[in-house]
Amino acid sequence: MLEIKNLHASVDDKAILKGIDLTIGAGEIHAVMGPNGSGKSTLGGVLSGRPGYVITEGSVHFNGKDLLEMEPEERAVAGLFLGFQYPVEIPGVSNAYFMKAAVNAWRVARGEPEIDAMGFLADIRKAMEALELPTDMIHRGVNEGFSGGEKKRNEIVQMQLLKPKLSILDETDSGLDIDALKLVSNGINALRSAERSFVLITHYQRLLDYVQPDHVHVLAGGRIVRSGGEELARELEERGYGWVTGEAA
Amino acid sequence: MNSVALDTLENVFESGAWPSRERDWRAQALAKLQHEGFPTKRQEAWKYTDLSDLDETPWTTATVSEDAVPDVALLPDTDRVVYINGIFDAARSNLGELPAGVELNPEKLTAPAQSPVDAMSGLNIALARHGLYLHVPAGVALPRPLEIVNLTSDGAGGGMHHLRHQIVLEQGASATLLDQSLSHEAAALSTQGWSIELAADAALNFTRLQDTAQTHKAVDRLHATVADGGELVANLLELGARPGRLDLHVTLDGERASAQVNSMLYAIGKSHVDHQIRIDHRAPNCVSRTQGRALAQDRGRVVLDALVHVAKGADGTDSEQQLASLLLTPGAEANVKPELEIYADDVACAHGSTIGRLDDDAEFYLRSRGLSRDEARALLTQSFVRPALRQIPAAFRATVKRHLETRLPGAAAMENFA
Repeated sequence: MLEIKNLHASVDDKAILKGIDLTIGAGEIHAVMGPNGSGKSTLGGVLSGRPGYVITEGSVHFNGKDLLEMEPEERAVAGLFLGFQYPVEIPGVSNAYFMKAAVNAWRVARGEPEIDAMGFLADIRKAMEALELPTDMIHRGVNEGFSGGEKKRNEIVQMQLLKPKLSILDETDSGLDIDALKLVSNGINALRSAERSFVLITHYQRLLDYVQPDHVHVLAGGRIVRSGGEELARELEERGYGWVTGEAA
Repeated sequence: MNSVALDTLENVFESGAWPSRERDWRAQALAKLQHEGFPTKRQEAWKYTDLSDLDETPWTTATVSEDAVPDVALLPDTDRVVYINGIFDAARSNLGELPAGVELNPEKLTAPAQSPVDAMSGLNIALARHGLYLHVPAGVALPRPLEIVNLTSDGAGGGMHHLRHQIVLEQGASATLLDQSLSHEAAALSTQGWSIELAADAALNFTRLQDTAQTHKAVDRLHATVADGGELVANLLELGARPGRLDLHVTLDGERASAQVNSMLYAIGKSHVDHQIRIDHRAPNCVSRTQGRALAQDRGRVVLDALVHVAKGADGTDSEQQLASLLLTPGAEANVKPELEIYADDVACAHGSTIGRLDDDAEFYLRSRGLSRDEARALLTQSFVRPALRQIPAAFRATVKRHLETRLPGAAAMENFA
């Protein structure tokens, strides 16, 4: 599904990613862990097409297509979703209007007819109820006045509505209390299927108690320094990052 | 004075066949213009809007060419007064039955209450032939919104026309008005003067939509006084002309009077739009709110000056002013200036202004969900202007959206302005 080869990226001439190799197959869940400043969010940004990064080397293919050549919206409608670490507040653009436009962009890209207003409202209401968000938020500005946890849950609502092939969730678990973490995990697990893949970018092993990853990678200094199974996350939780990154624990 | 225009205006005035009772005040008004000449950038109020090139055109009275009358979509359930080139057009107008005591006369001009405040208002008073006279007696609400449509039809160019309106709402009366100015491509000049008096507890919602051609010059002025508990809402949309200029002066003259001024300016192409807003708090416990949204793209230029003046003794004043401008493309220009002058104690006045571009993070967020760059930018631009559109009455929203659509793609689909 996703093939990253020798990916180098920099911001303002400072190299952040220094040769990432990662292959994600259909139906797989990969956790990318690592200390602050290791390049985790940059990886998410580069994959989703956030402006400001310069790709200096390497390639990324998404279902056979050259991802790095695509505009952010082209990546999106091809089935790639980024759950933001800091979802943006956009007062004056309603959640409902925004998400309906997004859902329709994806449908049109798949050659499907646009969704009707009633069908869409039923879908978004159901998704919001599942994440225990008050449904009157549907008509508020995008993330406007939402608490940090509500914003993160709203990202999962969007993911539920768009049903991406590949979801990259950038620290979606941080700042969530245990109840919200369970809701978010349920949201991810509900979408799990043999066709859908996930990249969970996270600091902590906590989320992985609820969403079992197939692979765990440790990113440090812009490279994947260690990969393993679920047990690697537990080991990191116990021992910190020092023993894999080569620094003192 | 060495001016082609002023020489010609003298002739236009002399051939005006004015009723003798009007001659004096008209001549005085013309003298004001002749004495001061057209405004130039040297005058503070005209620093960013240059009218000195008016001098170069021998302005004559605009003549109607029937094939150059702008189309205006009819609104359901509204009354309509149409002017073409400053002359009432009964055939295009549509007036239903009005409550007893309401006087609505589309051709009545009264002597101006005061001498012209500047040269352009001198031109307006000297030459306006028609205008709406609306008097609503105490306690009466106009049953339907009223549209005033000011059309310019000038095949040859170099034509001008003028309208002077007077609105009086007596105690507790209310009305909803839409003033539309439209033109075809023609190098014409129009002026409109509004005098609005709201008695105690009267309420007026006034929407202005100026969307004339970029070759047109529209120079308008509105004076309103609001007595105790009266309420003025002014939605001012300045979308066309070069320049399109409105001087709005609101005087809150009685206790607890209020004014909400929502100004939206959008300069596109080569248009130049300018709002000069002044709100005078002259009585205690009055409330004023100003929301200004100024947008410019291409070589467009927007000017927005908003002054709140709180007179001595106007204690308990509650005033807020929020001005924001948005430059959509390089080369566009915005001059936005909030001003406060306070001579009273115990006032709550807040003001602020921002100038900016669309938020890159917000644009990326929308695009990351599959919206195109253009869709994302259109949505963000809509969200920027929305605060200035909130108080546009439901009856006028479709009209306003249609005019916004040419500048803001997707505006027609804006769910509502709330």
